[in-house]
Amino acid sequence: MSFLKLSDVSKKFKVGSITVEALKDVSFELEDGEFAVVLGSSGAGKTTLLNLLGGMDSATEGEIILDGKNVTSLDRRGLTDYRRNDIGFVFQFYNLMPNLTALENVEIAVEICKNHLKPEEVLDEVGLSDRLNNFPAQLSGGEQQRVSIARAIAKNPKLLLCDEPTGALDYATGKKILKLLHDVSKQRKRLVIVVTHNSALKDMADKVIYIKSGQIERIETNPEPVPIEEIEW
Amino acid sequence: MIKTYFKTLWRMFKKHLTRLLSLIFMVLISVGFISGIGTATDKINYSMNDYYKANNVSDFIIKSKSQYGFSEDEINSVKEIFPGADVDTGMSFDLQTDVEAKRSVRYYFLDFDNWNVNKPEIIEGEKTSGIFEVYAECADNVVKGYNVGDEIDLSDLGVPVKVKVSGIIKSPLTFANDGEPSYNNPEDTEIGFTTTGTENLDCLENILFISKDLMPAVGDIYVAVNDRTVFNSYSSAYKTLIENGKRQIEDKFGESAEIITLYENYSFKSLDTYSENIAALGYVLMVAFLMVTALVTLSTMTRLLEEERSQIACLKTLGYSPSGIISKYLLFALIATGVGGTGAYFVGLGIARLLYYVFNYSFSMPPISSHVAMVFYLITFTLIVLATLAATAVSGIKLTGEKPANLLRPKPPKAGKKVILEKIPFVWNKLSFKYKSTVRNVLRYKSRFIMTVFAVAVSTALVMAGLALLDLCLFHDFGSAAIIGVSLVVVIFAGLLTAVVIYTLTNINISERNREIATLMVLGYHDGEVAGYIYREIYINSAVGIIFGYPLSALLIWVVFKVMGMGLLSGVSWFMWLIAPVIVVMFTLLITLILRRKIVKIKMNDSLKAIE
Repeated sequence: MSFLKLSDVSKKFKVGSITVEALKDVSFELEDGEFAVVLGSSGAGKTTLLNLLGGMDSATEGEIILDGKNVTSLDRRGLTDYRRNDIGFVFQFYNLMPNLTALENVEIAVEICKNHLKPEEVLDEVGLSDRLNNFPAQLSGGEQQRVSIARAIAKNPKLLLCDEPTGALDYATGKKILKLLHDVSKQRKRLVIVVTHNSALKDMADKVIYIKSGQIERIETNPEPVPIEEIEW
Repeated sequence: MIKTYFKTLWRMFKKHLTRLLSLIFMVLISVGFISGIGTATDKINYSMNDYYKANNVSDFIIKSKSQYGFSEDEINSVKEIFPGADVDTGMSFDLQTDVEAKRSVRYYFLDFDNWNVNKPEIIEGEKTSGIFEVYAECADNVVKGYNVGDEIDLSDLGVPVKVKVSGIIKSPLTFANDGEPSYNNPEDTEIGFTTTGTENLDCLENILFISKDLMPAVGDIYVAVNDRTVFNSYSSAYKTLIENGKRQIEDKFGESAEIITLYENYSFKSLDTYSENIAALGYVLMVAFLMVTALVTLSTMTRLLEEERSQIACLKTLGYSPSGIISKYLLFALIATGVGGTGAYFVGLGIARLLYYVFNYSFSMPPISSHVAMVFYLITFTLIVLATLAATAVSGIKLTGEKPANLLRPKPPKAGKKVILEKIPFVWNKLSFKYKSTVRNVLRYKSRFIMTVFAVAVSTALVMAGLALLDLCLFHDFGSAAIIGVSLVVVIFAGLLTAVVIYTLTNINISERNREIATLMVLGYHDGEVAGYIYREIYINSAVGIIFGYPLSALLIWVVFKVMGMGLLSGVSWFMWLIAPVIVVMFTLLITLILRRKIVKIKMNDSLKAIE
């Protein structure tokens, strides 16, 4: 049994009298410790997939099973607990609480989950040990995204979901962030899924899932992923 | 072009419907309540004008100090001073009946066939026929009154006859219900119009109106000047008339006569003072209500414009003029205040009528005047409209003055800051994490904090004032159904004000922090925990507001009791001081409960999108 398994997952939206099928029969499997990239152009269904994986929405059909837990059968409360304990989320626009310091932004996430790590240690790991008491407005974009990653890691989640994590960052900073995410996956043996439209990232992933018009186009496995430092775009 | 413009206008109304409604309610409540209080004063003045005109009340009573009274010549000289005036003559004196309780009976001797000044209203019985029939003033809280048919022995007056009461009347000179001071009080007695009223004075326990034929001497001259329209211009023109007339009479009679003007008439003076005090209370409340309304309207419109940021940028790049863009929002504000203000007229009218009934408790009020009293209403309404338009224009000009490029970029959220409490580690470190965040947020949005605290404090004070009145009626034998009604109205309006303010401010708070809420949801916070994150702030603000509400309540109750001439601040039952905050807390909880749905319904996807 795979660590993460999606079987024939579909998501339909009703817009007025029209039904839109945002995802259709999506199936794939990923293992713990893998670094996966979901690639697709805008409108391909990436966000919908991310929402279903992250427990922010429920699938219309099919099954999502993470570490033996059937996510599709969860109710509203169950989904909240799932997000709380099993999912770490890295946002494109960081989404830090503006009135909390870097340290407190990590604390606000971990104080509600069971097996969390020590916030200070995780912030040290992402290179922010001297920025603990700074507010988001006092941090650069890259630093803010590091806080966001620290917040996700510190929850000690089973799955780390990253939505265009470099979308708001410059080239060099973006690369550093991707390196950090890759390291988390390998050093902590965590499943990391990065959703992006930047096809250059495909070379660094263990697995690349191409998504188009709500369907899986193909899935590629890289036997030898290229380190991010060597990738140019 | 114009068609599209109206289309965007229509969409704006649809999009911001809740905001429109809360603005309408806000204006409805505050303008309605304030204008109600102001209109009540106007109505009282109008009604008294009508009543005085109809009963041809005397402007001057000239009382002779000589035991022989006035001569025919003297009476004629008064008529010369006031050409065209109605002049009645008669006699009146008071006999003390109870020295200990300080009670007297007043006897008027009047010409019933030529009773033109201070015309009474016969409320029971019939006109007298013959000199042995008399009228008696109707009973109130102090005047005992007689029944039709009662026989009265006048031997005490040196008139050895028995007379019979044929009619019960109401004199326009004595319509106060809590006692009319007698002539037996020292001449320099200052009549107090505070809580004590007539308590320590010698008061009339009965007033009898007897035929002049039983005592023909003329001790009193009653003068009603011919220009009755002068009442309409209370009080400066009337004051001048009284002062001039008084001087002329004094020149004529010197020390030999006493002049009693309407200003020395207890009923007139106390009603005048009460209604002036109510008007003063109206002004006090007007300032408070207007400030709350203006602050809430300002933040609503600022938030609305902020949400339209990208649309404004779009219109600007398309070449729309700033005034063209702003006019749309001005129209929105104008319609909201216009609709609310129009409805407020009727709310105000209802409140004015209620207050008029309260006055019936202390005074035998004439029927309420049908005069349209709109001055107070128009002033309040205009001020609210102007404040709202100014607030909208200021935010609009600020926003449209920015370069479109700046507008298209999202406004960064308010930065976090350390608060002063963090410098006191032994307090700060004891706070749980949730509360640290709340404390910072409370101080991060300072203007909202001040606004909520102010609004809640004012509302608490109003609720408390209403309860204090209720307490007076229920537990201190001031029983009056009218006052119970009014106190309930005050409590309800104050509660509604709290509710609308908290609703509006919480609503703005939630929409401003959509992103933070969505993020918390993604992090796995349960519905209750997310709501708590926003609501802890609201609750702290309300709690501070309630604390500030206590001294404000004491002040307001003191003013209200003073104005109504009864009750003592210290006499308010202790538990009433606990009920007021409970009511405010209940309104707050109710609103936050209603708005919880709005929080829970926020889409987590919003947190993933670019900041808009």
